[in-house]
Amino acid sequence: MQFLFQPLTYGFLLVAVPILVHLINMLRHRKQSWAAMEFLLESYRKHRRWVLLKQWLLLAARILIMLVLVMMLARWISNAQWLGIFGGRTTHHYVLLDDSYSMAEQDQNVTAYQRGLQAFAALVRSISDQPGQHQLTLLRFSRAALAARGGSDNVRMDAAADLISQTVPRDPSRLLDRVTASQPSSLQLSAEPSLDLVVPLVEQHAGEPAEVYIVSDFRRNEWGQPETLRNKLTQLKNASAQIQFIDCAQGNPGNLSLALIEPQQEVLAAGVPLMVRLQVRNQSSQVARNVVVRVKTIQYAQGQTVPVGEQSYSGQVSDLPPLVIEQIGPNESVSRQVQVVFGIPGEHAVEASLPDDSLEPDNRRWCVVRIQPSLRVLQIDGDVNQSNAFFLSTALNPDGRSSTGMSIEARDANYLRDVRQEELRSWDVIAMLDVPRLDKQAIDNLESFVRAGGGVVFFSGPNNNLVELNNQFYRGGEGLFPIPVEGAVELPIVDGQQEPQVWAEDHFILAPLRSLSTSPFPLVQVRQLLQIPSDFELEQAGVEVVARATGKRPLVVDKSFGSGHVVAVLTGLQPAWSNWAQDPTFVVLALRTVGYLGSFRREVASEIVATPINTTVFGQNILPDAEIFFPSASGPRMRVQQKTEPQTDQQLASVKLSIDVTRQSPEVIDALMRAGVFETWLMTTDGKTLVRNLARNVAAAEGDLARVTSQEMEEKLRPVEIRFRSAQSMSAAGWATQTTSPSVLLMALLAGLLLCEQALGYAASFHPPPLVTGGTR
Amino acid sequence: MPVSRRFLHPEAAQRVARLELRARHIVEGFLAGLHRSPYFGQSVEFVQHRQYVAGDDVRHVDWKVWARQDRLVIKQYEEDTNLRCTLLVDSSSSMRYGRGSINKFEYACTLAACIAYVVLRQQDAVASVMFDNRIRARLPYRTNRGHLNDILASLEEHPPAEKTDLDAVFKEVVNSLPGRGLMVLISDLLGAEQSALRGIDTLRRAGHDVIVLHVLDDDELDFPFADPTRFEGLESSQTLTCNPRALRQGYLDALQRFLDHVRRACAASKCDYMLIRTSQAPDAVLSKILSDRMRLVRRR
Repeated sequence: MQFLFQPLTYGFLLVAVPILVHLINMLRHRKQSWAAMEFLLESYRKHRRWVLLKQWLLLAARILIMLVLVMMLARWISNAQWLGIFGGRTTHHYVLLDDSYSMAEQDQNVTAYQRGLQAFAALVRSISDQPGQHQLTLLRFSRAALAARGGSDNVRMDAAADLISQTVPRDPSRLLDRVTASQPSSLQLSAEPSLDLVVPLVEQHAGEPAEVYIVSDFRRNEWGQPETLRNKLTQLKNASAQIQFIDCAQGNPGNLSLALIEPQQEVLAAGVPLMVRLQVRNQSSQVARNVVVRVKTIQYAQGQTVPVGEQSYSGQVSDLPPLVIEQIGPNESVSRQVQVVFGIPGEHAVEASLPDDSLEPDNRRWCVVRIQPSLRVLQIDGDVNQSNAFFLSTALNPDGRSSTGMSIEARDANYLRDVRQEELRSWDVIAMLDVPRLDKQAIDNLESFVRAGGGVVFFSGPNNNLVELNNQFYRGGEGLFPIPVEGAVELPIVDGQQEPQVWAEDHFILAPLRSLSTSPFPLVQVRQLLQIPSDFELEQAGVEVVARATGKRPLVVDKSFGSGHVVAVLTGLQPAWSNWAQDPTFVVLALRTVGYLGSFRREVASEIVATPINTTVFGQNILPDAEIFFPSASGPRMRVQQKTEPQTDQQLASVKLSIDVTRQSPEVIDALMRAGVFETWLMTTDGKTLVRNLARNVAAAEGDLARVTSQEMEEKLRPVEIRFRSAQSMSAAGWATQTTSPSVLLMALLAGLLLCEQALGYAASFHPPPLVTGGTR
Repeated sequence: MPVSRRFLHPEAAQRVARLELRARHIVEGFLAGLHRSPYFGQSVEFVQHRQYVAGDDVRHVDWKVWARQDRLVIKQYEEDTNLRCTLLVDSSSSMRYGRGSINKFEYACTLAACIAYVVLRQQDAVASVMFDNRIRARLPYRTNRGHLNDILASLEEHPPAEKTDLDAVFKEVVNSLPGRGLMVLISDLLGAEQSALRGIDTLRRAGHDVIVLHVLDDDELDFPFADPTRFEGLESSQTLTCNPRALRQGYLDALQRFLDHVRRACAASKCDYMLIRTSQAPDAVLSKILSDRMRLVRRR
């Protein structure tokens, strides 16, 4: 038997009072001389048993009254199911806690998440202080979102909820300790998955009182369109649940977010400078000035770097000069590029960070840069003198003083026919230089190469066979070549012409030349180029124009094919077709085209938080044990052991770690939802360590701290009745919850006992009857 | 306080003095006057003849009837006599009870004094007997007014004590009193119920006219006790600790049965019976007694 107010149980000693009163009454009496003793004795003899019985019953009733009274005051708690028939039904409390990273917004060193936890603690204490039976369910948005990825509803709910239908103990400290130790996740989350899980649970107990508390910061990016939740909230209402929105956020502070970090689609080769693009978003209504972005590079030397769990990274960390953005307007984004150089091949990382502000998680961002020893370029030249290859290789690798990271080789067209697929995949880019025709096998190999992510660039020339181009390479749009060709046209050349003949379009390849104030192409002369049929719609065919020639004729086009891309330069490298190969802008065209085409086979530089870990290792003999290091904001990093999974291809092995709330431990789930660099350490059969890095970043949109007002939400959710409260007021004033308790039973029992006591007292003649005096009988 | 002031309140005495006390039956007396004697003697008014039985005084034989009818009869005459009133005052311990300004014994003495005053004032003879389980004091019949002081002194000198035994006392009274008269019994009749009823019957069988004035306290009739009480018997050593409210109804029922028995017994013996509360004014009680008796006499 449990009581809320344990000290009041000393009140049970009060049951001695009726006994003492009874004993005192027996001892304390007045003496009365009496004449008519015989009648009194006769009455006593006749009624003695009844009188004694009534007195004992009266004493028992008074003792029970004291017992019940003390039980009521001390708040008796009982989990006995039979109490339900007396109105002591179980009240279910469902707390849906938003742990998206916007809940990490700080105000006076207290985060919105902490305010939410304080409100939750106040609720739990309030429940524990209240009589009646209460069951508590706590579900975090992140767990619900992860559980929504798979599994049946019951399994998902059991695995996802921190607390599920748990009876609140009288001392909830331990329960609260477990919950309040949690931290907001790094995810962008909505309430929908949580409601999906809770609605069936509420409907399951539709006959019993239920309170659903949605504890969130109600940011506009998640709650701006609450109409989508209306059906689920209506379902809750139909199940007689009371819905309360608990607002944890305060004010609308400004926030700077690092929205993007990615390496440009350039050559990622050892020793080659690499541009990394950064984007900073000012998500406030005020101008941000002198924003300092700090950039770090983390270099991993394959075979030399060893895993170090005590530091944030196992690699060598180098700070780059900070980048200062003078001004970012309200709700504007500013992009900048920083140049980084990794001298050795490997899976390196770049970290960018902003100064601390109200929301910390979106102030850091990472990307992984996979640096190759060199970018392998294969040239297939249709000119017997290899003059085309000369121009291209000269542009790609002009001399030995500056490294462009290219490894260029020239082969004849038969190589494409005879080469194995595995060998062909070792090339990053294939340049087809005025190739007249290819065997079907060669075309198939080339198409397989591009579909797998490789890149091909076509240069035209006098050897081009138009029929071959259209029938074999283009094939009505299904082939490799991006466009059909009508024929070669000659463009008139006027001596002393000042107008440039080439114009760069909005495309990555010539983007640096496009932003110049004057045209960089005044000296480029295009004499001949392949003509596209006039009725051919470039946009409909998915063809992008990189550059145009006179008459806005497409000069350089780009089209995706499978996972790779194909770029076609519709003029030739030889002077008879154009002098572009002799112009400095051709170096830009060549380098950026090769870098662009070589980028599509690379793994992505970063992904959104909570993307499962899946690392594939090519061409290595890997031991089966792998170790994954999770990012950590501070202190030693957590690590887990994982077995590699052999692939059908003997050359491949992969390490996978999915996010499954039904299988993974809560600690691993928490770690998998962090942002940062995940290091996967493997070991080759010859004893060398091998690291594969993955970067995970938060969703930038969550950093927008604009909020939805309660009035707005009320209007959008109408007719669903929602009660809005602030977490701070809840923590201070406590929670009013629906209560049912054994007190109803006790009160009824007490009333019954009091009536019984009165009746017994009357029956035992302790109530004075109306006296009739003065008359004779 | 003088004895006369204690038992005979001047107002009460003045109120009852205007009434005449008439016996329902003709009583034997030596003062011709207001009362007709139940006895036949030498008088001028012939009443009836009766068959002669052995032992009759031959002087009352009607010789003229013997001469004409040859049978012996006795002539009987009606004569007026004076009243001989005996006051029987219970002085047992139970009469000591009373929570108010007056207890039962004092109330009984007051009634006795008033009756004695009335009787003496109309030149009738009055005697008094105080008793418990035996006769404690006895005064003979007198008609002079000074006899009242003797009666009052006797009441004062014998406070209540001992138990009651009416049967034994009244047998002694009947044997010791000459002739028949009016017996006024003032008692609570508590003690042995059967003994009391037998005592009353003894008086009536002796030919006395009997008035039973049953004096009880309000407490005894209403039993108003509320708090836990230890009751101690006045005429016995019995005690009872109880909650009085729990026993009240049973007590009142038992008392009612007792009163019914007494009423029925008095009615059977043709005794006048009156239940008197000590809270009632004595003069009112006395007025009611005398008016009732005069109404009965006139009805006859």
